[in-house]
Amino acid sequence: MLLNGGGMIFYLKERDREKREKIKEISGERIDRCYQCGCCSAGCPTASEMEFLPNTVMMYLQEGDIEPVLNSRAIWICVGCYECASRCPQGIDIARIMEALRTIKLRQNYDRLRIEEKVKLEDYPTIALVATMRKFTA
Amino acid sequence: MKLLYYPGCTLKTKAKALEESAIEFARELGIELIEMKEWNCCGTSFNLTTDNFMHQLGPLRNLIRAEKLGAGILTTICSICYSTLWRANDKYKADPSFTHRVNFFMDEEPDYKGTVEVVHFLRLIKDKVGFDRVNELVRFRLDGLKVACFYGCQLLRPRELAIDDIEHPTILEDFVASIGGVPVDFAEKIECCGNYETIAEPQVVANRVYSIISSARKSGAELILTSCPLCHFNIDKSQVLLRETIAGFKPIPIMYFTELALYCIKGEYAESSFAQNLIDPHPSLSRMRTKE
Amino acid sequence: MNNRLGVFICHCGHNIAGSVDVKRVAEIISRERDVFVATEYIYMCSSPGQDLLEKSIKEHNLTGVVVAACSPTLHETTFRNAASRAGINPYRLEIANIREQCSWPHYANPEEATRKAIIIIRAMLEKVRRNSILYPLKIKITPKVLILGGGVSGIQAALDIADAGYEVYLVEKESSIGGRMVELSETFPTLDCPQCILTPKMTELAQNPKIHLMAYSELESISGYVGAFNVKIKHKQTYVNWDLCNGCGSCIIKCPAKAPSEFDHMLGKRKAIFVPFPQAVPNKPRIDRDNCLYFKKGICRICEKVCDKNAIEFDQQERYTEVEVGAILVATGFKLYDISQIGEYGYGKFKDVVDAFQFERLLSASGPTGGIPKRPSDGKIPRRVAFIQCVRSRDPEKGVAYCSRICCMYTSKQALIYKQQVPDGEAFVFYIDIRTNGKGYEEFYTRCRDEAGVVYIRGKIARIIEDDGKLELYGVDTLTGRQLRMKVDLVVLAPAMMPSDGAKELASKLRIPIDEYGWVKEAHLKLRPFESVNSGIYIAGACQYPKDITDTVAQASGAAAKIIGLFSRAELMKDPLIARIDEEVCVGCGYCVEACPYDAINLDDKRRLAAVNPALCEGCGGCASACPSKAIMLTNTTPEQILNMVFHSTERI
Repeated sequence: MLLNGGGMIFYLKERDREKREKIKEISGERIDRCYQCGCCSAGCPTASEMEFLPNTVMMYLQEGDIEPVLNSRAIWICVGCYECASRCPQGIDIARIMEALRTIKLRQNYDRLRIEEKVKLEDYPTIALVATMRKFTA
Repeated sequence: MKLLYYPGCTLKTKAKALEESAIEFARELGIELIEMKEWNCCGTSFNLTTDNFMHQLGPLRNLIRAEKLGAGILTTICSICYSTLWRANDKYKADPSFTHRVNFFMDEEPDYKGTVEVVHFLRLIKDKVGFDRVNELVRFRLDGLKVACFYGCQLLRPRELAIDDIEHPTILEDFVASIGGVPVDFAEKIECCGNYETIAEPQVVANRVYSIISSARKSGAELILTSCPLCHFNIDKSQVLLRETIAGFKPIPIMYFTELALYCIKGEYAESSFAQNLIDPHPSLSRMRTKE
Repeated sequence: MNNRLGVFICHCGHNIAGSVDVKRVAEIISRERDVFVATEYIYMCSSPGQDLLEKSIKEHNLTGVVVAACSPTLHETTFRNAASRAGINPYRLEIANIREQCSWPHYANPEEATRKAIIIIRAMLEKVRRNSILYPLKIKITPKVLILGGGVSGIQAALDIADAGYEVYLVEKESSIGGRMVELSETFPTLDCPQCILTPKMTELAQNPKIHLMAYSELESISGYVGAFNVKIKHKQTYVNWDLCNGCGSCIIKCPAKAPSEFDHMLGKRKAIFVPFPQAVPNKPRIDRDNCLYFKKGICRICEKVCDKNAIEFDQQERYTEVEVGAILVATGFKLYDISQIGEYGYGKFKDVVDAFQFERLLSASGPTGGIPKRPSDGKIPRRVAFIQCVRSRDPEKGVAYCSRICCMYTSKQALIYKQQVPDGEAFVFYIDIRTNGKGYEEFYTRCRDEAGVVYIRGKIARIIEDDGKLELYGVDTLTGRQLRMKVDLVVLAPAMMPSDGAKELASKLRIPIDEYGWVKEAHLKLRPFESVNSGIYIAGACQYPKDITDTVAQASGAAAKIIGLFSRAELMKDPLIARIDEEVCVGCGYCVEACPYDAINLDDKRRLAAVNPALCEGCGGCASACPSKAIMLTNTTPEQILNMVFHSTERI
């Protein structure tokens, strides 16, 4: 249908100020310093698994279009290895921003996975189990 | 030298070999690692938000107890415990009001004064004992064994906690050279192994490990060395998967740096060594000889 | 004196009136003691604004004025001139800064801004009430200039000033003038080579009788003031008597010792006795002590044997020249951020990762590879070259916050020349933003893409690794949103521009302020870009901030015009706002001598009295606060004035 066929056009609505502020507050980071050099994405070891590159996530946040990144896979792929943050010329800790996005989802009572359905606990090191519980479950 | 030591959960379960070999290795160096009493989970992985107090309770309680025991230095062996405790400690020192608020949730503990320094075992050996001393103790030589040192992310980033240069670290290589191995450089040594994604997204970890192993293999590595139980687990386990799915894939065994050191000094491994290994390191180690 | 005071409040468009309620301020101030008129106007500095000021002075027969406006560094002179025209002594006018110190910082809080404006004006009224009538001091000018730095800016300024008939001392720390420009392959956007456009100027300079060229020399010390600086120049040891040397070059040919050439940025070799490049001015060699066999091992001395003129002097000492000059031009230029500090790009250890200057030498017809770019590692012609922009520029975290301004353009140029030399090669430029703000620049950039086929990829490189003799880049293409890996033969970095080595030490000798990076601060970025705040010291070229050749030459000629203007007057007027010593009270303790940062106070041991040199005193007040017996006062900033200003600032409104 023609009306839905216009999906390619991105209509920038009013910025989601509330969520933007929330992300800034939870992460403590200055989103708007990002000038899109792409250094974060260039060095990210797992960017190839993400549908949004880290710098793309930053752009969405600057535009105030938060929902797409909140519902993205990218934020759950990031494990905070800090390559992005250690190289960002603007000193933005992108890992903290990813954590803030995950936190917002988790605080909406979202579980990324149910660990008991997925694994036999004794197969995994405790650190992996604890980290998964903390990072992926509400 | 007696040092207070924080083991962490995995060293008591999946990475017993790391703990046993580290304690034994330390003893050879004249260091007595004294396990701190009443430790709890380090708080893994370090929480990156500004407003989550609950996730800070674990690390803070450990630090308070270490402080109570009068430890200036708290030694860690697991890379993730090192990272988590170091970062937590750094945050508590920088922001006393935050620390006070976290402390408020556990009124049975005194306030943290910030006197503890979290140090990784490898850095400690380098600074307090010196690799020259390690070299003197070596009685069994590796006979040209090519060793790829895998740092992963937790020992190097963020910059402030790095145990060595963040882009081109050499501390593990220097260590390998001191026990008679041939350290080989490889591009992926500072990259992430996939960390805790191992449960939620094992394919992501497998892809990372493939990349790491390819890079290490290119440099001719016969063995990979690590100090991280999760890197150890991920690299070991994913290689089994990779071997099954990719024709011609040749895995490289992984060991803890302490296990190898202990062997070079005593000619034996810790009792629990290799019990958890899926990729057997014995073929790589078979060439080792007694030092003349 | 019976004061009749006027207060004029400027709106500065919205800058002040946007937060300060100027009407209310005028009304409240008009009720102050001695105030005969208090009014506001949209732009006091404009012609009608100044007319208003002059008319009011005459109409109300005012004896003192406060103009509440922007910082006095901008328009104090403007308004004092206007006051003077209206017949009152200019030092009876003061500026109350209600913009930088009031309306701007308190823009969000109009109530607070208005209250503070009143306080500031009240304080300045207190000052004006007790301001003395003063007359400017007159200082004689020595019409000679000292230029520090023999790059293109120093050369241009020297020629301009000499053309006007004044003497120039040009001091260059290297053994030849030419600076960074002479190291370039070609220049954007015209593709002139420096050999064609700069070396003729260098020769012209050497032949100009008005210009005294002092190469391989440095400023040792300086004293004095605008119009009469005494400078001591150190001539470093060249171990060659340049007065005797005729530049035949036999010594260079015979010298057996080699070292990396600084001129070729370590990519080529030179001898231990050498001129940096064939067109050097002066074309006289010097011996590099660190590599000379005689200095290292006590053997050889071949240069001495082959020199017909007996110009080799192994026992040469440093020499000094002292001259008096009226003005000094700082033209010390820049260097590039050291790539051996950059971990992610290999700490300078990957031979085929070069900086922009090294690549200039690889492209230069006079360079170590004769203009055909070759890899430093194996001498092969690189078939795939990656250029990385913004290396530590625009990087407040690990480098510098500013944009280095010239990298976009020189990278285009380098990629273009590379494609001319290696037509089947591929050139990729990794950029964040492309900045082409200059005449012909955008067209040049388009030519680089369109004609030369250079590929521009938007995204920064996070990491470089060496692999199989190639360099692998960890990158991203932010426009297609893909992570990218690629292998290239050569990587050219465009590192941040930094002030030259020694710029900080020089600035402290000259007592001129520098910013956090070491760039010399101009008196005013827009209105006085050729001068430092220290009068008589001018600036040109990249010592101020990153500039291309076009801007550098423009500023050099501009600074030259300023200096020529200064010299065209026989004497100079100086503000009389300086320290004065009450000889009745002074006990000659000498604390003030220590406190003075300008060496403006001398102690007369016989009379046990301190004496201020009015030409040197900048009126900072350091001596006044250091004096234990309160014998020193700053003209028109007396303790009585200050205390009254403080008292009235702290009064409740």
